Amino acid sequence: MRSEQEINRAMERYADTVRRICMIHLKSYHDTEDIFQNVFLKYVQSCAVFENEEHEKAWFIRVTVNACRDLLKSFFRSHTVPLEEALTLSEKMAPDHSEVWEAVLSLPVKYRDVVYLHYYEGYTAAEMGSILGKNVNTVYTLLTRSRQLLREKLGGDVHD
Amino acid sequence: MTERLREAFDQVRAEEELKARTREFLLQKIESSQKKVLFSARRLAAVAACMMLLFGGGWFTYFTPAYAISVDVNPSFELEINRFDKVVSVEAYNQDAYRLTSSLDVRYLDYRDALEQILSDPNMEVYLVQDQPVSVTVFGADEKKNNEMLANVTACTSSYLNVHCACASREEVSAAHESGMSFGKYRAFLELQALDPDVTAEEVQALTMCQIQGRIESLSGSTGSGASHHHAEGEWGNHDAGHGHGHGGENQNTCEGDN
Repeated sequence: MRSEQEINRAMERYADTVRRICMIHLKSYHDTEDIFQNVFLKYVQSCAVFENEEHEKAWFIRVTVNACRDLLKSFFRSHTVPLEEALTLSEKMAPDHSEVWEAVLSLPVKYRDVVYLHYYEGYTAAEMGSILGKNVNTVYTLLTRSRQLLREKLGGDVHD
Repeated sequence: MTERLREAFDQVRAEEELKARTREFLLQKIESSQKKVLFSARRLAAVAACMMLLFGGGWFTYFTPAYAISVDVNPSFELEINRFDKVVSVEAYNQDAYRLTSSLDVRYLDYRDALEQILSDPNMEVYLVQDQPVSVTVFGADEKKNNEMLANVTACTSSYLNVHCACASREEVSAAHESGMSFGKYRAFLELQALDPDVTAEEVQALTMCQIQGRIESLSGSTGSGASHHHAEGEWGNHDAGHGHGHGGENQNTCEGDN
């Protein structure tokens, strides 16, 4: 069981990361809140010893992605949550940002993680493979296809 | 395009409200977890205390003597008996008794079995065949239980001659122990003292039961026909309940055994 001080430190460092991953997977704010709380609860209850900050961050990303996947896989969720509930947050953003988010959220779920991790967090294919539990070649394929799809939707160049 | 993506992702931040609620949720979880640990520790302590009470109480009850049977021929000893009728210790009051009890292990036996084993032991038979008076005294806190034990002891010793069974009070037994004698011998001492006020407890301690009996008979002018056999008088008025069997045993001058 971790201390209140550790919780505050982790919250300051990783709350935004967790929130963004929730954003690219979940439509409902209630689900986001559930996952957000569960991820930090797992952290509080975890006995894992982190070698450094990068290691800790990778742990948060992996746990959040898995928690979102588990939620989406559940029978009840897949049969009851309307897809139209999406985009509520992105609609409140500036038009340019909103357009980008709509493009990202229109991607198949399997592409969204690599887009976020690569273009925002700056992870390499090998690092993403390790975090997401995927083969590096699979990650490359996902990146290539997601780039093509984003280019189609947003136009312009998306660089590696 | 890459920059647009980065900027768009950067727009999303964890809301302060979300962080505050999560903090609160986590602190509640930590608190309840600590309470659970505390509760578990308390429960464990309570269970441990109950177990200690149960086993400690059981152990204490089992090993605390509630009754005793004093046997005096010349070996002079007491069987201390718990409330489950088991012998928990044997107290020897003279050398003959040490010799006898060290060769026997009657602890944890039912007192009836223990008494039978003692009376049938070859070391004890030496005294019994010589028709020396045997005093068996039962004492304890519960009158009803004492009477029940007296009846059982009488039945156990019915096949032996010259055995006197009786009940005694706690006060009498305490006085006997203070004088360094088993109760049967103490009774004999009191009887002798009534006839000869100069006799002391120390003096009697050095005598065998047979020798005491001989002095009583010589002082009272008795011929040892059995009429002089002392009857331990219990405080519960059952004086006759434990009278020995076969009073025909005649005291002989060939008293055996040391003191």
